[in-house]
Amino acid sequence: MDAPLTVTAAAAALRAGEVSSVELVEQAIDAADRLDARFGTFLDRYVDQARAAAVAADARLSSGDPVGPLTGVPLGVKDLITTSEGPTTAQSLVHDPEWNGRRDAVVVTRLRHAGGIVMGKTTTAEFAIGESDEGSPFPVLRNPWDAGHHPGGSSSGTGSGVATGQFLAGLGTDTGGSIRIPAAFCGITGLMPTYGRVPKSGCVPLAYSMDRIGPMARSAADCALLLSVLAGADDSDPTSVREPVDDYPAALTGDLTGLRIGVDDMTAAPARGDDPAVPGVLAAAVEVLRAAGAEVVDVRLPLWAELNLVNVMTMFVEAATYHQPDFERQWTRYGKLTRSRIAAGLYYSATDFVQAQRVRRVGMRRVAELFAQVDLVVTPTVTAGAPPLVQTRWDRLDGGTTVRAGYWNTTGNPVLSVPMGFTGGGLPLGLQIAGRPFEEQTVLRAGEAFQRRTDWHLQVPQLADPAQAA
Amino acid sequence: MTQMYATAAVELAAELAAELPAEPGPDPETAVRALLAMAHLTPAEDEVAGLVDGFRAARAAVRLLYAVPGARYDEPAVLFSARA
Repeated sequence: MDAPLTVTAAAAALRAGEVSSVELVEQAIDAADRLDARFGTFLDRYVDQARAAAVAADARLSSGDPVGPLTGVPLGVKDLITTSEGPTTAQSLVHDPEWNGRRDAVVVTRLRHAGGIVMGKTTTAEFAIGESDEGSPFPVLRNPWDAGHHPGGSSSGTGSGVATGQFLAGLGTDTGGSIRIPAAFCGITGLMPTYGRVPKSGCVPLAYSMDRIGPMARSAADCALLLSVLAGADDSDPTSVREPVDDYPAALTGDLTGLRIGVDDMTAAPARGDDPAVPGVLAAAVEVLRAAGAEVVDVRLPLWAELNLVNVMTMFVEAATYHQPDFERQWTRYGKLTRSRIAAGLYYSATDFVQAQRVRRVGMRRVAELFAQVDLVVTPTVTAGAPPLVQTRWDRLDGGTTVRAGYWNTTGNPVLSVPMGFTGGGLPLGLQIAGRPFEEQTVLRAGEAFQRRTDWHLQVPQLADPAQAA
Repeated sequence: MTQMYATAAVELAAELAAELPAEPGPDPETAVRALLAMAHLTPAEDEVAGLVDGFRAARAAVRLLYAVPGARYDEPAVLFSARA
């Protein structure tokens, strides 16, 4: 049979005996052999361990005993998150690779308990915020839809790996858009859960009060399945929240009747570099949601500039605090862009930081008032396709941005990004679907209903086609 | 990605804050050199120049946060629990 594109299809095929875990893992290894170096997907691959895990998974599947929902499924893990197979580098020369004692992070333990197979550690930006300097030992990150463009960050490798079939799903982290941006740029689906929904112990921090771990996969249904495994408090993370964990796959009815969706097309906050294709693509996507039964109204996100600024300055201040000891001793071992960004945390006083958290509270309240009027809010994830690689170099930064993601890191809401079409240049675009805190089931329901009526999420970049890659 | 977005977020806030009344601030270069000294950091001069530019934009932007209606008496959204 053809290799399944989604986790849900793979899990069903495994249970039906139509495919084995060994076959899925070998297909993933073959794809990585061909494509990893081309797109800079992995920092480390665990081929032998994955093969052994696949054999064990097939034995469990054939035994007839109950098995976990991810049994035999190949997965990628961003290299901020620790795994027992090898070191975690945060894609930096500075980070202690033995941090967390080579133990599995809580989320990795949960994936393995559900039967998932870790294929390796995926690339990121240095400490999820910077960029490696030329000449560093880390791979150049490339977009599977156009290798001259960036795949988005900072969960770059998980994005390119899912898009090119090097694994079926994986873990990303998101502090200012780092799950949703690569999901949008690579043409896949990514979920940033509510802050506190998924424990983040065992994940190298960027900003303590904004970091989240979440799934990246082809479909919203896959993200629902992974979230059902990942969600739930753990004592090792004091910020994880003891809220009931819903049956996310069961919430996927395909019907949006009764839901009121607010649309902010972001035209009130234009940015240099907005792609002209976005308004039409967004309008078509909104019509799909309407056809699925939703009522649609226009909205404007409150305090747009202020809450984006709170995201940025909180990120920089908390990052500067985390990095201070290594900064003093190893300044020049950080990438030039990385250290300039983190040092920006010094610009703000303690008073400024607390004021930012007061504004954050006001913003959370204003957003809650908006969610009293609507059940979901949709916007473009980014109002452009992936930028050319040259624009992301430290000395070529273009201040203009089209990223619409960090606002939601300030407020804490859950947000899903689903593919919604392409720019005129053939680069993927993402639709962001935000919901009330701890209502991931509604966000996922909307994303899955959208994907029942579209096939953007199933489109595979030509560069990942073996015939094209030769 | 983060850096491009961050730069733009600061620029947008600074643009909006430009309409607010302002008191003269410290000399950016003097302030940045003092902050770097407090943090025991000694970047190269070209990096100091970049940080001075960034400081100027950040200080212009942060004034916007002090003008948000309702924030004056609100509780900051910091995390604390007496249960360790």
